[in-house]
This record gives sequence, structure tokens and C-alpha cells, in this order.
Amino acid sequence: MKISFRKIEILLLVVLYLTTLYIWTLPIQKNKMPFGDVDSSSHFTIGDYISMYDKSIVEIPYPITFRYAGQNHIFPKYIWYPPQYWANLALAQVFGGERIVPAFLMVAIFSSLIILSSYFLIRSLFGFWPGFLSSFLLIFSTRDYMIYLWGQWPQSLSFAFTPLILYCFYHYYKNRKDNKNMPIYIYIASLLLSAQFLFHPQGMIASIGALVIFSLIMLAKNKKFPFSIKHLAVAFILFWIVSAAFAPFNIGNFFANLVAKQPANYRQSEGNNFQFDKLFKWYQGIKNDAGLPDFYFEYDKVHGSFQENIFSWWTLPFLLIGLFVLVYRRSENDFLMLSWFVSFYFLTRLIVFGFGQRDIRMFAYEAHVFYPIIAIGLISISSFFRQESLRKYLRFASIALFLILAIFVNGKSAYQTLNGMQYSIGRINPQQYEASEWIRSNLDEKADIYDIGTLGYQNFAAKVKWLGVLSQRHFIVNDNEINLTDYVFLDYTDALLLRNQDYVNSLQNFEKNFQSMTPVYNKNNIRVYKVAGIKI
Amino acid sequence: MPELKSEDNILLGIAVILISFASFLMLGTAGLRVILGIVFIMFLPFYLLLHNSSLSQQEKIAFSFFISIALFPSLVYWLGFAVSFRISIIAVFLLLLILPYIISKISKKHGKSLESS
Repeated sequence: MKISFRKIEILLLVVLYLTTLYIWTLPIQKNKMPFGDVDSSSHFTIGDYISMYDKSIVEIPYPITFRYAGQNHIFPKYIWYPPQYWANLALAQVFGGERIVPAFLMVAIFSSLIILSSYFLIRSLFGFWPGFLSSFLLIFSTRDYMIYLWGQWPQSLSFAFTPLILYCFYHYYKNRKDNKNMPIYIYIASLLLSAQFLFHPQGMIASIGALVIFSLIMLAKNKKFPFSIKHLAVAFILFWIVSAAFAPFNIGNFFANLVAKQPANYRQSEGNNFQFDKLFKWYQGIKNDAGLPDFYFEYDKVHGSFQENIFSWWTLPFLLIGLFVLVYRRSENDFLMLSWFVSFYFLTRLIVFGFGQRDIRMFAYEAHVFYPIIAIGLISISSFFRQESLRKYLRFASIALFLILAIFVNGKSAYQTLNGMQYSIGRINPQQYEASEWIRSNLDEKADIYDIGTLGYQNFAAKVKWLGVLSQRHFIVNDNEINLTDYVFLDYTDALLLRNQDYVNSLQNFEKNFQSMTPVYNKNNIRVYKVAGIKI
Repeated sequence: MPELKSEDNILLGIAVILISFASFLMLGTAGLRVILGIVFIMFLPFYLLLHNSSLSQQEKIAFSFFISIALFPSLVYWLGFAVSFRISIIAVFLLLLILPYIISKISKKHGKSLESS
């Protein structure tokens, strides 16, 4: 039986996606408790309310008003982001019939969607192998899986739309150039841009940046607009209608933020706004950033391995070769890739031009731009040789080398990190989850709870916020809210899991304050005391 | 209704079965149900909607999936203020299933397709 290459291609694509699904769901395969830092719990909670109460909500629920009320400047009591990402998590809970695993599976699927969308674009522009190899490397992209683990999920999904938008615009342009009228591509691009707006505007800005640069290059090259004004106008109207219709309480806020002046104290420590040296340093010498760890700005770690060694740099030569090849060939597909790269460069150093609020976060999509170029660089090496048989041999040898390095350098590091997440003490443990369920069922909806003992409670950390959203009650994390305390949540579980006797002793000392009281909840080394009116 | 018997659709079906099965092995019934929900409730209506266009098969699959994850929750969310969220899911699903048929009728009547306008 003869199997066509097309079928092999589809088979390899299925294997690629199954590998993705396996690697990206590692954190929830054995541990069914939630994970994520900073924003993750808030992205979970709106969908959780929707599915639990079986109705859509637009006002911020009481427990999280303390964190998010006012972030929507135009409608301060309303949700601070468009609801689509959260509604998807609600859909997952309804489909899956459970609270945690379905939502986290949806998050894993969405956070890894770039692997498929990138394949779609690169396959179309440069053929199967560059598409397959770059997507294969993306499975192990530290940038992407760390953002997934941290919890900036809507942003992650939004960036996954960019390759499709570039694809649409490129095919619209190519058809138009060949005198074929295919406006459907630009209309779909506008729908996808709306989708990016609905999930996170950063992705939309990344797409527009690449499209503007590509259009300018094509305009200069062909002395002709790469689009019809009529089609562009219709696409623009479509974008506005979809965005405004589905996020009426957020679209105004986005544009208000866009034109808002940068806070005076923003990055004051970095001196004036015009920091030209940043144009010449890829990672701008960023260290000790308040929101991102140092490794985020170290090439060998984010595009290689956390186990630093010489092999962690293996992608860099191919990246440089890939860039050289794109600049040397300068065909239209190469220009599209270069436009994406150049727009990335500018968007990650907007501070140089005085627009610095989000530029560091733009590094989030670095791998999406780099990995296709790395794959192009690798595949192109064989074309440097003239002898046909040698070319063929080299091509397959380089593909094999790529796969080996991707698996044993990037893959090994990614597997260890994602697999290790299953055992992280930073996650809610089953005892804490059970206690949060009890609180949700038994305490008043506007109860304010002060947590002592849960890991990180001293530093307003993620676990306390997770306890808040799981119990759907206000867990106090700001000092100025302490006088609201109705209940004290005394949690020994993390101290016991860490086997830290000093930690346990300090909690016991604190608990002596409640000797005369009977806890309203007392199970699994967690006690809840009603303390309304008592000063903490 | 659009025909669903091409080789591409068979391959797509096999891919969905494999992914559903893998999801079941990794995450149990909840994993399986989520994949089936995404494919049949969210993706399928949009795929049928694009089926009459002149886009290639791969384009239809890719675009309908990405559009569905933005528009399906949007429609369900806003209808979810009028009726229960679960009923809203069913209503939007049914509405979207009917829509390709209506569009096909209208375009036949007017003798033109979506992309040539």
C-alpha cells in the first residue's frame, strides 16, 4: 500500500499535537488542584461564577472587587477584561462536568495553540519541514510554558492568533497581486483581530505591527497599496462591530488606556524615557525586574535549557543563519517573516520612544518569531551546497540533528519543569481545597477572611488568592483591609508539608489568641475562627 | 447541508478520535468531554458555516476553530443574561447549526457567494 506524503504529513501533525497535549497537561495529570501565580486565579474566577450560578455576570463579584474594581476606568464596577476567555473556561466546566480539570485543560489547549497556528502559517510560507520543526520546538518554548504556569493566559491565547492573521493578509495580498479578488481573507483577518482584542489587545498590537511593516515594504517594492481601500474599510468596520458588540464595557477602556499618559513614577529608576542604548541590546540589560525573573532575559535559558551548558545555545547560530537567509533571498514570504521580526524588535523597546508600559511583556511572543527563523536557518544550510545528493543527505541529517537537540536540550528542560509542577508546594493542596469548599457552602457571601499559615500569606501570594476564588469569598491580602476581618483561616498544612517546625510553632503561638474560642471549621490541620469585632 | 464525506474529513475525524482518546487517558472523562465539547459544540457549527466558501479545507478547519473560540463564548455569554448559561449554550449551538443552511439558501437565491462580494 502506498501512503501519500500528505497522509504522512497529517499523521506527523497529529503526533505533534498529541505530544503537545501530553507535555502541556503534565501539571494536571496527577495533581488535579489549580496552579498559577499572580493573575491566574482571577482568570479562573469569572468563568467559575458563570458556570456555578448558571448565568452570565458583568459586575465584579464582591470577593475580587478588592483587587480589580476600578481597573475598568469607564465602568469601574464591571469586569476589567472582555469576558470571552473566562466564558470559555465556563464552557469547559459545563462540557467537562467538573470544576478544576476541564478549565485547566482548556487553558492548556489555548496556551499551546500557537503550536498549531504557527505550523499553519510556516507550512504555507516555507513548506512542511520548517513548519513542523518550528512547531515542534515551540512545544518546549520556555517563554510560552512559563507564561502558562504563571497564569497570563488570555495574553498567551491572543498571541496565537497572529500567525493566522499574517496568513490571511498574505494570501489576500498574493491573490490581489495576481488579480484574483479574495476579500474573504481580509475579512477573516479582521474577525481574528477582533478575537485578539477580545482575548488580550497585546496580541492585536503585535499583529498590526507586523502587518504595517509588511504593507510598507510591499508598498515600497511594488509602488502600489497591498490592499484595496474598500476592502480595508469593510474589514475595519467589521472589526469595530464585532469588538464593540461583544465587549461593549471594555472597548472604551482599552482606548482610554492607550491614550493615557504613562505614570510619572513608571520605571523612574531607569532614568529618562529615551534610552537609545536599548536599541543595541536585545534584552536591554534587564535585571531585577519587579514582574519577571532574570532568566526571562537570558537567551540560553529561554531558548535552550535551565540546565545551563553549551548546548543551551544551539539555536542561536541557526537563528542568525535564518535571518541571513531571509535578508538574502528577500522573496515575499521572507519579507512577511522579516516584518514580524522587525515589528517584534520595535514593540519590545517602545520605551525608547516613550511608550514603555507593555514593551517588556511583548517578549512573550519572542519564540513565535524566532523558532520559524531557526527552522528556516537549519533547513537552508543544505542549499549552500551544489551537489544534489549531498544536499538531500545534509537536509535529512540537519532535520535529525534539530529533533535530537530539541528533545534532549529544550524538551528535557520543559518536561522537568512541567512535570515538577505537579509536586509544587505553591499549589493548593487537597486539604486547602476541601476547606475552601466548606467556606463557600457555609460562610456569608460577603465574609472577609484573614489567612495565616498558607504558604506565602506574608507576601500576598498566589495561594491565598486561589483560596479566595475557590471559596468565592474575600481573602484579605492588603494590610488596609485587616480591620474587615470576620474569620481567621489558620492553615498548618503547608508548614507540615514543608516539615518546618519553626513555621508550625509560630502558627501555634498565634493560635493561642483563640484559646477560648471554638473553631467553626476544624479539619485536616486547618481551623477557621469567627473573630468579627476582634482586633487581629 | 454540506457534504462531509471527503478524505480530509475522514482524516480530521481520525485526528479528533485520537486526541479525544489521549485526553481520556490523561485526564479521564472530564478530559474526553471537554475535547468533544470543543469539537462538536464550538467548532463544528463554524466549520459548517465556512464550508460553502471557496477556502481550502485546511483553511476552513483553522479559521473555523479560531473564530469559534472567540465568537461562540461571546454569543453564549451575552445570551446568558437572558436565559441560563447552559440553555444559552444549546440555543447558540442550534442557531449556528441552522445558520449555514440559511446562508446557503440566501446565496443560492442571489446567485453569489460570500467571497466574491
